Amino acid sequence: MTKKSTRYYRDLIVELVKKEIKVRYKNNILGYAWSILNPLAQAMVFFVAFQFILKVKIENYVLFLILGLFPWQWFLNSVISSSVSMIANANLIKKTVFPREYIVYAGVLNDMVHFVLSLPVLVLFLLVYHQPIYFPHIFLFPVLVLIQLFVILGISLLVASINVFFRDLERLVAILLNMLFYATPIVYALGMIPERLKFIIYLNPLALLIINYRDIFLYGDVHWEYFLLSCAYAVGIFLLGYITFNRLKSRFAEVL
Amino acid sequence: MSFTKAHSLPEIVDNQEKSVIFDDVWKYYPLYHQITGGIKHFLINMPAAVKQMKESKFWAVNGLSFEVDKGEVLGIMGPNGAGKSTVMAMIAGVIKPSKGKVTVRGRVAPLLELGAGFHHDLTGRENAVLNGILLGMTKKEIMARLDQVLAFAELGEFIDQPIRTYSTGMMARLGFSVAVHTDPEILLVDEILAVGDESFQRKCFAKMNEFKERGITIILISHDRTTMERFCDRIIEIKDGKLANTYHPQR
Repeated sequence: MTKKSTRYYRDLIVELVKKEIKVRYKNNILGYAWSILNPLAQAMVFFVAFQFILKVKIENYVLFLILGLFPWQWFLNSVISSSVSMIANANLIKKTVFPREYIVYAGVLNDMVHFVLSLPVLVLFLLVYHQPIYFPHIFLFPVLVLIQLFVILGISLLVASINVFFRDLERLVAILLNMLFYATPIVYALGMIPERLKFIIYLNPLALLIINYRDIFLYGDVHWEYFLLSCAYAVGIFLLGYITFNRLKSRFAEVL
Repeated sequence: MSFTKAHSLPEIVDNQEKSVIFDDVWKYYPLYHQITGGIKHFLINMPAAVKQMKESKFWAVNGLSFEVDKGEVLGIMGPNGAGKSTVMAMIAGVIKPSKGKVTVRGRVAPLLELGAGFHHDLTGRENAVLNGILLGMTKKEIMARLDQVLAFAELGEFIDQPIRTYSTGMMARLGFSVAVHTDPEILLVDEILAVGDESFQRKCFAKMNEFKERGITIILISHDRTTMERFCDRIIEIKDGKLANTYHPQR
């Protein structure tokens, strides 16, 4: 890659992400609040439903929920917006040759920025619950974010490219995401899963990540086997998405 | 001098003066509606659908050959569905030919459809920067000529307003302005100058005349024969994906 093209790709991703962020905040002063309020409201609903009504016994349940819902929200928003991203930019894809995968990258990075911006809220709740910060476990947090980024990028590239050809994939994705939410220990704990169903955790990179997010913040612990497995998933899923996208992208302009 | 050298030499010299060469180009589209119809439809009709997808092709371009000289203004005309847009898409590089060879020399600037790549909540200025990047310029290159771009678009105080407040003509002006300021060597204009008022159209043609004098290749698609004959050096007519007619308009 030449020097000029490296700079071009950097400019491209920076400007695209900037655009996404500007657009989100342009029309309302509450922009930032909205992106936080959504998972918080959800946390409140689950808190009432599961702790008050179903009497689930989990300590620090609000914190527990937030640590599951914030990462989930990032995953959910990215995959949903990616699935329609090529169709939404059809005009551009049909006329210009700029690298299409950057639309997906920009969308996912935009959601990552919002995930990172939601961290002060997490810190606030850690303080409210007098939760100590565990060292050195906390240093694993950025690594988990990076692993999650590649898992999300891979799935996003996959659904973005396939949805060009199978337009109803986005509906299927919506249903699968709904099921995946309950197949992931977000509202319940790892220990509550019946022994014979525990294997599901190993099939679900998001579950592996969320368990480790909680481990490092709530319990000062790390499930290393989950950590390593999620790394493997990140590499595998990203490659699968990247290769699929690149094999299909030359035909996007014909189909859109 | 060996025979092969003598034979190949004029061809190379000749080719250097061409911006675009279509050499027996064929393009078919598989009938994608089989799959864009949906996953359920595809799965239920799987064997038939796969077979049909392999067999049923729509030939949009059938053995098309033509060349465009550097600095030439070429008009492409033809009825709807004749393959004009496919030809443009192949020049722009977004679609690859199924058979044959398309050679394009130089930086291509496609004029985007009205508002393509624009975001309605961003201002004219922000959209100009974004559009420039999507058309292949670096941020630095854009910032260096942003004043020119905005001046040419003549948006006045609207420059810093979100473009959802713009009229169609204003959006066309901004889009045209960004595209012509990317320093293209080949400009593709696909039937979009119909928007915009008379004075802007005149300005566009003045700009294109300036391009013409600077030796920039321009390829136009339009159904408006009067305009095309006034402006183009040569017009090719395409019908059913084949070259139907070529002529030099009398001026």
